[in-house]
Amino acid sequence: MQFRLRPLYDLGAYGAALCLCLICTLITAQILGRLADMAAEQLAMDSLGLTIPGLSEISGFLLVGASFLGLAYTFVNGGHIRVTLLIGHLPPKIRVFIELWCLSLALLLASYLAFYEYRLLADSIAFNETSYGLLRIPLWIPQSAMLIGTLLFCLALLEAWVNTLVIALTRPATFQVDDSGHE
Amino acid sequence: MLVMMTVLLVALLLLLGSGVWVAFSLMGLAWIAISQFSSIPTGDVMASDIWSASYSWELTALPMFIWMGEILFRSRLAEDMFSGLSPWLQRIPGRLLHTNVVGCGLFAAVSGSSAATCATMGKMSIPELTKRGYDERLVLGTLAGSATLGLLIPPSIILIVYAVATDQSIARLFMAGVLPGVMLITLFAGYLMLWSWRHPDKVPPAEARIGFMDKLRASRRLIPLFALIVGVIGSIYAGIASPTEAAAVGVVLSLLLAKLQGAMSRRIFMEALLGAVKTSTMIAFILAGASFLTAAMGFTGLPSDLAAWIGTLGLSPLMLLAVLTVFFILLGCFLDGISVVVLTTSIMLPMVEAAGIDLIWFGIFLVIVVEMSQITPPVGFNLFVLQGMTGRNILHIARAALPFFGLMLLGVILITLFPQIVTYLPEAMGNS
Repeated sequence: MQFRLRPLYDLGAYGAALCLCLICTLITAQILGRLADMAAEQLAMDSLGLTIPGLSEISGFLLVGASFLGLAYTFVNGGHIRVTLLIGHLPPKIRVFIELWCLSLALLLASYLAFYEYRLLADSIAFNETSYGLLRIPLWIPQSAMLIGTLLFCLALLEAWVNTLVIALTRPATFQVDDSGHE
Repeated sequence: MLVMMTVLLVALLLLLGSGVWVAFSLMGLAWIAISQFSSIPTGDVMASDIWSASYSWELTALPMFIWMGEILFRSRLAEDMFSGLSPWLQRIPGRLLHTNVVGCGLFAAVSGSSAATCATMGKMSIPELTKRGYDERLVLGTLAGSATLGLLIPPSIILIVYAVATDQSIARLFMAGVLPGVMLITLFAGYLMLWSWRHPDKVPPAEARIGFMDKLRASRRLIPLFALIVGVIGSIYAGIASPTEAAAVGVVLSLLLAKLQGAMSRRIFMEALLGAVKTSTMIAFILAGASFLTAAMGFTGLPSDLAAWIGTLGLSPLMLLAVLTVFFILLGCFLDGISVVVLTTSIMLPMVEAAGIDLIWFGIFLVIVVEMSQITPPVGFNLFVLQGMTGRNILHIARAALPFFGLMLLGVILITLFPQIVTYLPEAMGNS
């Protein structure tokens, strides 16, 4: 299926990839710091205190970015799994309408989720909510990443929905879908 | 309760069967459960639940281990493993077929996915073994069966999913998977020996005998792999690193390893990274949906009712497990492993707890049954992978893998009779 906004979804995936890189770098830095500390103690020196405060909070929040920003990219590349056992062999003319039902439902649920994520975000801003750890990171930062990711996903679903609708109305017999979304 | 159960069951079958993506099926089901059978504000619960399920230090291990697997899949590890292992396995009955079993077992110790293990080992061992005249059917069967060890032997993606969904310790679950993994390797290898003893004509003769020093020299190439295994699993067992930390170190070490092998370039790095994004967002979104479903089920009270109802039947734990095994095998014929696990944990966990079954043990039990489902048609991911690699019909591969299905069933019986196989290591590791 053709997605006109593919570069946008790719951008989301790069954002998610950046989050993964940051998580990995921070944790590795933390461990190297701990090793340096242990070495320093062995040499009868004082601990250098090379730790990253609140690392588990930061990683947790970066994980939100990594999980949500890539949703649309994963969708347009057929990465979300589904059961195609029953619908896989249907003729295109019928399959196109099943696909429309799946996409409608997914679009509805994703938009519903986005709407309530927005309310959650608005609450966090209104009440100045922060994380419980050392750093007291404002929750709106990771929650915005979650919302942006969900909105990107909605956009990708909408694009697929429109494409499928057009095909269903004009030339249903030519409908093709890639069912390769495995593990 | 009956009405609610019927409605939800029909909805689940309808959603999944009509091809709605698994994560959305779970969310849709949860939405129906809350909006129709409770008076709780559905949307707010959905958003806050999905939010709190999505940030967690423990869950961070998931994308890291997936990333590590993606890097190693693109490295030369499989080739090194084949040339490092084969000199040692020449003389054992079954000969190089054992490279499939041992290779998959070792690769499983650095990779968390069964399909990735299957694809990585397969791209090396299928051409090498068929070229040497080994029975193609047995090559495919051993590969399909042994690759499922990727799910059981730590690091394991599906055990992380189970741990997060049931609030158990990832480190303990990882350790619980080690001995059952060794047990399955032994069963598989034992079967191969028996088979080749019965069919000596179907196993090609050994290649030229090589000296002990040459063997050692050949296995030098296995050192990086062992270093990775010890570094990752060893540090978790010793309590030096949490699973998340071990995973991040695993990523860095795998990158170094691939770099040293000359198998890393900017393009491959990006491929592996985006591959990790793709798989981990898919799983994270399913986990988000599953946590919403778990909350929804809690509001409806269905799981505890189910537990109470099962309680009135007066089944012994053994009978309950037998029923569950059959149920999961059937479920696994149509669903992938992660969906089986999250559906189980959101609906059946109270029942399992009420029956007095240890949740760490149950996780391993569930994973072995899910392993069996990887090689049962019509939906079995290892079958799909091998079909893609060989062009063989999926039923042909499933038949080839059937003995391994039986061996895993034997494994399930063994851990039920001797639960210590599962519980010994996590208990020995202390309170970390």
